[in-house]
Amino acid sequence: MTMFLEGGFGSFIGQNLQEFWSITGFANATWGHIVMIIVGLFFLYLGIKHKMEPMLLVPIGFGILIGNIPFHDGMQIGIYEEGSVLNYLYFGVKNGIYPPLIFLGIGAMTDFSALISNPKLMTIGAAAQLGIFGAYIISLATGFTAAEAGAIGIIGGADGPTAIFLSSRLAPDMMGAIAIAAYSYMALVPVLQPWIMKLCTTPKERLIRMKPPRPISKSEKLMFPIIGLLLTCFLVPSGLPLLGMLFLGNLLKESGVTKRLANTAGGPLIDIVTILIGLTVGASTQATTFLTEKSLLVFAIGALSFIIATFGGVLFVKFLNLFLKEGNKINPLIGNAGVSAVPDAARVSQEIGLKYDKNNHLLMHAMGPNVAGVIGSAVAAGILLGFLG
Amino acid sequence: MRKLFLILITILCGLSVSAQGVLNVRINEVLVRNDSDIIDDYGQRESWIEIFNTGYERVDIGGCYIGIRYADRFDGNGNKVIQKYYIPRNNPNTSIEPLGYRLFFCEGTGSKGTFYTNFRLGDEPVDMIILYSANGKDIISVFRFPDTYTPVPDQAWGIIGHDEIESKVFPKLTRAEKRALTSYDAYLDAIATGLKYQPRPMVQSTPLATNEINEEISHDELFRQQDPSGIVMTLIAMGVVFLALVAIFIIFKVFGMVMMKRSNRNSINNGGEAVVGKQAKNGGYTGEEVAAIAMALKMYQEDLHVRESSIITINNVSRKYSPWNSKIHGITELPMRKSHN
Repeated sequence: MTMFLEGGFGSFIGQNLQEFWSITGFANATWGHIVMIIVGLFFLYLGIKHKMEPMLLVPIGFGILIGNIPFHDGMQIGIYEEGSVLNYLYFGVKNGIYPPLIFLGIGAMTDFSALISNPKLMTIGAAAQLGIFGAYIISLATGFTAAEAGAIGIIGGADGPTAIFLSSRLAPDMMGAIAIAAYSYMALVPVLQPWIMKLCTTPKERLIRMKPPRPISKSEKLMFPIIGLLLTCFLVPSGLPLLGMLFLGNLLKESGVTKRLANTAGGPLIDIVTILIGLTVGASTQATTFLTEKSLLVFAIGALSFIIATFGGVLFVKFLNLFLKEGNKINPLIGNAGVSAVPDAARVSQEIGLKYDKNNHLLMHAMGPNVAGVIGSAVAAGILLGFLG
Repeated sequence: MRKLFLILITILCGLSVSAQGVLNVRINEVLVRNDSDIIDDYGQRESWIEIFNTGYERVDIGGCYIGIRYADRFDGNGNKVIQKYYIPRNNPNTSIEPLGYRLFFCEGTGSKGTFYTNFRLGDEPVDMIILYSANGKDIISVFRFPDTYTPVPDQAWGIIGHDEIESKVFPKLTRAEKRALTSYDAYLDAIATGLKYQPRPMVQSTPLATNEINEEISHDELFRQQDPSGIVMTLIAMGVVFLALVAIFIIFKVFGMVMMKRSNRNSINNGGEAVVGKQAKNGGYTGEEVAAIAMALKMYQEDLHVRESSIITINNVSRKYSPWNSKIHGITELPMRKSHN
C-alpha cells in the first residue's frame, strides 16, 4: 500500500508487469529452447503427417514441446524439479519401471507362432544384435566411457523400451538422447534398411520362396514363454525385468484362461504406459541437457548401429543358406527383421519381397526373426548391464 | 485345498524372510578407539559398530543380539565370556533399507536408546564381535580381530568386498569338523577363519557409508581398461545371445518334431492319413492357400451383404390406434378446479 502511495499507481502496475514478464516463457527463452521446440514440431509432423510410429512420435514430440517451455527455476514444474508432477511421472523412466510394463504388453500382443514353426529363424534375431556391439566398439573408440558406450550401443537393438531401461541404468544423463535416437531410427526403418537389403542380396536370392509355416499346437505355444524365460534368464539374470515381463505377457495370452489380463496388458495398460513414457522421455530432452556434442554423436552412432544390425541380419541369412538344402533356404530379405522394431522391420521385408515377386509374401516369415530380435536385444541388454552396471 | 495353499504360502513367506532377510546383514565396520571421529547424539565420542544390510530388501534387526567376546575373560567352562546386547524391537529405525547402514555406539549403559549398547569396546581387550539372530544362538555375522590387534586411535577396521553377501560364503562345517571342535570358542573361531572377507584396517573410517573408499575406478571403467577396444565384450556377448537363442531353437526344433509326429499318429489312428507338414506334397492346400480362400469367402460374403442392404423395402407406416400409443393417455393432465354450486 505504501509502495502504491509512494510510487504511484502506474509504477506499481509497471513493477508487477515487469515481474510477471520475468517469469514468462518469452523472457526465459534461449535459442536452445527454440531449436528443441522445432525438433518437437518435426517429430509431430513425422508422426501425424507421415504416420511414422505415430503412437510414439506424437507423445514424444509433444513431450519435447512441454519439456522446452522456458520457465523460471524453482516453480516446481520442470521434469527435473523434485516434487513436480512431471518429476513424479518421470520416476517410472528414471527407475526403469515403464519399460518392463511395456514388455508385458508386447508379450501379450505378440504371436510367436512364426518363430516356433521355424525356430532356426531365431538365430537371425541373434545375428542382428551385432549392431549393438558394433555401436559399442565405435562409442568406445570415440571416447565414451564403457557404461555410456553400452547405453549407446543398445540403440542398435531397435527397441525403445530396452534402450530406455538400459540407459537409465548405465548412463542416465544420456537417456533422453538415446531414447529419442532409438525411437527415431525405429520410425526410419523403411528408409534405413532397404538399400542395405538390396546391396547385400542377388536377384536370385530375393526370389527365394520359403516353406509355409507349419501349424503350431497349443502346447508349443504354452511351452514357449516358460522355456524361453527359464533358458534366457538362467543365462542372463540381469535381463529378468524385461524378459520376465515379456514372457509373462505371452503366457497370459497363450494360456487362454487369462484373457482379461492379456487384454488389459496388451491394451489399456500398454497404452497408458506408452503415453507416459513418450511424454516424459520427450520432456526430458531439455535444451540444456540435450543440445550437446554428445547427443549429436549418439545420433550418428545410433544410425550406424541400425546399419550394422541390418548388415548383420542379412549377411547371416546368406551364411546360413550355405548349409541349408534347396527348398529349405531362407530369403535373405527377412534378415533385416532381426533387429526388433516390431513390426516395421518385417513390413519392410514384405514390401521389398513383393517388389521382386508379387506373390512372395515374406511378412509371416519375417515376423520370426523380428520377435526373436526382441528377445535377443533384451538378452544383450542384460549382458551389458551385467558387465557394466 | 485352499487352507493347504495358504499354509504353503505362509511357510514359503516365512522361509524367504528368515533365509534371505536377516542373513544379508553383516557387521561391516568397527571403531574401537574414537578420539576424534564422529560424535553420538549426546555429543560423546564412543566406539561404534556399523551394521550393513548387503541385500536388496528391507531387514529388521530388532530382536537380534550384538555380542562381544572378551579376549581375556573366561567362564566356568573355559570359554571366553560373551556379553550380548539385545536390540529392542518396535523401533522403526531398526529396519534397515536395502544396502543401508546402522551405527551402534558402545557407551556401556544401554540406557540411552536403541543404538547404544550395554557394553564398551575399549576398556578390555575384545577379539570378536558377533551378530546373533532373534533366538540369541544362530550366528548371522562374525567380525574377528586378528591376534595381533591393538586398538589404534581413530583407526576403523572394516570388511572390504561386497560382491557376495557374507551369508553365502558362510563356512559350512561337516559333522566330523563339528565333532573335532572341542568348545564353543573353537566353533566361533572356525567360522571366523572360514569367512571370505576378513576385517582389515582402513585408511579412514566410513561410518554409514561403503567401505570401498579406495575404489576410485568404477566397475565399467575397469572393464574398459581390460577391454579397450570392446572386441572381447562383443565376442562374449554375441556368444551368449547366440547361445540363448540357439538353445531355444534346439528345444523347439525337437519339441516341434515330437509334436508333428504325435499329430500325424493321431490323424492316422483316426482313420485319416498323416497331414501335418505334407499338405503341399499331397496336392492339398497350404496355409497360405487356405488363408487366401478364407479371405475370398469373407469378401464374397461382405459383398453379398452390401448388395442385400441396397434393397429398398417399403413398409406400411400407418399407425393403428391403441391405448398404449394414445397421446391423451401419455400426458399428465393439469388439475382442474371444480366449482361446487
